[in-house]
Amino acid sequence: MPTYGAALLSLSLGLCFLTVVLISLYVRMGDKRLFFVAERMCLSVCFLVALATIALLAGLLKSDFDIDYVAKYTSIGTPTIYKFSALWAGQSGSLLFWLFVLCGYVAVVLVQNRNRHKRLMPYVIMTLSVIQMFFLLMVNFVANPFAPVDTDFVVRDGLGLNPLLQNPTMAIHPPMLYLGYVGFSVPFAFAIAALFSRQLDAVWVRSIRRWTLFTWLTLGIGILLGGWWAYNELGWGGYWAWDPVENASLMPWLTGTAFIHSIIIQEKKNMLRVWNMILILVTFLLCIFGTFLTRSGIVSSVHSFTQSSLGPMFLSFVLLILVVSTYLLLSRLDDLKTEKRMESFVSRESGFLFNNVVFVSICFAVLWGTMFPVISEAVTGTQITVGAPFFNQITIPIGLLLLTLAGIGPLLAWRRTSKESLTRNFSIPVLAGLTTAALAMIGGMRSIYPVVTAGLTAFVTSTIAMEFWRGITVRRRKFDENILQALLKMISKNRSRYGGYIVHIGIVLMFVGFIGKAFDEDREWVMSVGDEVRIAGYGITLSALDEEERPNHYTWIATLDVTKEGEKVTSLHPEKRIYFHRNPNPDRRQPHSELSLHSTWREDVYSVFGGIDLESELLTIKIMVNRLVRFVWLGGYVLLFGTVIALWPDRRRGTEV
Amino acid sequence: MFAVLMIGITFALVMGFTVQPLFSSREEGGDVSPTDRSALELRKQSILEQIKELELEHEMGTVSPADFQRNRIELKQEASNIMDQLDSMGTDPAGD
Repeated sequence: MPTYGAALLSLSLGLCFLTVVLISLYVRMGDKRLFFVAERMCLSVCFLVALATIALLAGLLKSDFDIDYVAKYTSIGTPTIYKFSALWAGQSGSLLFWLFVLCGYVAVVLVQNRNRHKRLMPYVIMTLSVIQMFFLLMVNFVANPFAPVDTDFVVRDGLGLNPLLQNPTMAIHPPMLYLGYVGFSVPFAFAIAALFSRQLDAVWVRSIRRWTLFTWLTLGIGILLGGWWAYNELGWGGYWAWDPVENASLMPWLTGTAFIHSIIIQEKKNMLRVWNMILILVTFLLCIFGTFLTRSGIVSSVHSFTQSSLGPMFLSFVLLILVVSTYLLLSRLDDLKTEKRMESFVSRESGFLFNNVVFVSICFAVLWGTMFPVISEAVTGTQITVGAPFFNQITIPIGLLLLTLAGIGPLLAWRRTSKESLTRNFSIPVLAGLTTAALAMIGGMRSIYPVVTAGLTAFVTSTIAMEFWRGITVRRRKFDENILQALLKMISKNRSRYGGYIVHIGIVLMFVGFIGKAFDEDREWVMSVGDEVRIAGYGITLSALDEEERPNHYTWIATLDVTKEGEKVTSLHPEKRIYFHRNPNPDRRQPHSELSLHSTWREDVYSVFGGIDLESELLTIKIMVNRLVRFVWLGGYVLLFGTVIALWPDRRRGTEV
Repeated sequence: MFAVLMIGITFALVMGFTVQPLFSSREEGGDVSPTDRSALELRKQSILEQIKELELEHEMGTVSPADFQRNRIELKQEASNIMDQLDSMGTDPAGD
């Protein structure tokens, strides 16, 4: 199997190279047969990479320890689901998985556009093949997942998967992120194709609109699942730590969000053509740059792979993309420019433009903070790391500005908005916002950001509610429908518009969750069985301590009885686990705290078993009371729901991509 | 030995699939020539959608009567210009 897998990757690389050569020849000579052969070669590469991925998966599931990757990331005792997810747990396997996802996308693009976009497709195939070729070079020559095990003895059992990765969320989070990261290759390829072919009108934008939305959604879900995993597994009580690798996934999501807003302007008004081109090029660049950050070891992060020789190659690829994109962009600048200008500062176009500027500003701030340790080391020789306070100080006010724009934008008219419209549309939302902010202050909120956020969430919610209500009223008047019928018909006939509004509601819910951060409480105690402590009105009693040996770890289980005003609320069971506990080498045994939490809409009681002194049976227990966290996850579900509505194909509009 | 056999079979299948178009005529397989008509068609479709959206927003009361009248006239003018351009191009043979 290792020989077969490695041969498939070599064959794929050869075919990929030939695809690029044939497309180049087709562009020069115009012989259509060359194009069709290249198209089939590209499809074959996808097929071969899929076979190679299946070969590695078979090795993982069968515990074929002749393969170094299998021996490093699985053991005989690893549960089957985690043998499967080990495919993306290590450097070379995850590169193959990256390539596999890319090939899946390429195959879909080829099949979907078989008789369409004939001017763009040769360049689309060429661009996608160059990206495939880069990753094939990696898995063939730098990090081959089929490399044989490097020992002078027969490996009977592998090292096993990192316990932190043995979590169902972790089995889904990386694939979702990859779907997002890799998915931006397609809009990027269409953008490069538009530049090469000088077909710079709305055709390429229309072709990739739904691709981009799907990619944006999967990247967003990937980010949220990462937050969910951090909150439920890492035990520090938060879902976002401004870790460099988290930031690396956030940056393309931010520019991608700007892009899906600004292409609306290009489609409707044929404006912002240069800006859109820059946005998608930068978004893809940030995807590859993020992969470089994760794999180079240039910044320290809990998510990073071990330091490797991949860094310089990724950096070279980033530079190649930058140089080619910049050259193409500059050489086509005159073709991209349009004579259309914004007619008014108070118009939906300028609302979208402000929104874009804000998204890009947040992205730049995050990039600056992420790269600051590297920049400071290069300039001063000392690495200065910026932490969460820096990011919060910069991004919270900008994020609130963004929230404001989410409320203002939909109520502005295209081209220009009259004073009469402004007064009519904004009176109720402004009143709702101010009232909520005042009520929040009366209710005890004193910090400026939570009060402003509460006001803005009410403002945005009421603008969206007004839009829905007005739409329903019109339908009821025109078609004599009941409220539910009118609502469903209205959404169904304007999916992107109302899907977008629902996404905005999801974002509002997340901001409600962020408000809760200002009111979190946490304390740590050393406790023995029978002790009771108090936090945020809760009584926490350590009522029992048990221990248990399980197939792949040994664990101590604390039982914490939680009461409020004398009534029992729940029992929590945080654990202190030792993975690989039977390993004779103590250095290879891995401790892990498995947290336990009780979640309600108001707050989560979050318990962490920090450690145990076996002689005295004293436990270190940390309790956190985290407010409104559920709203963050609810916002994620609503965002997903809204995007699916916007993505849902509209038969009346034909078969656009 | 089994691996070598598998590699040989895979290689033969892939090569058979990829080189097949080389044995067809140079003209088979549809047109791959460019066309600019599709851009205008898309633009026309977009403007018609914008007119519908504007009418909906006017009925909803989001757009004032003055904004509605001005924007509607401008959009209709633009749609008319595009249709004139499309008429002058004739029919589209490629259907890109």
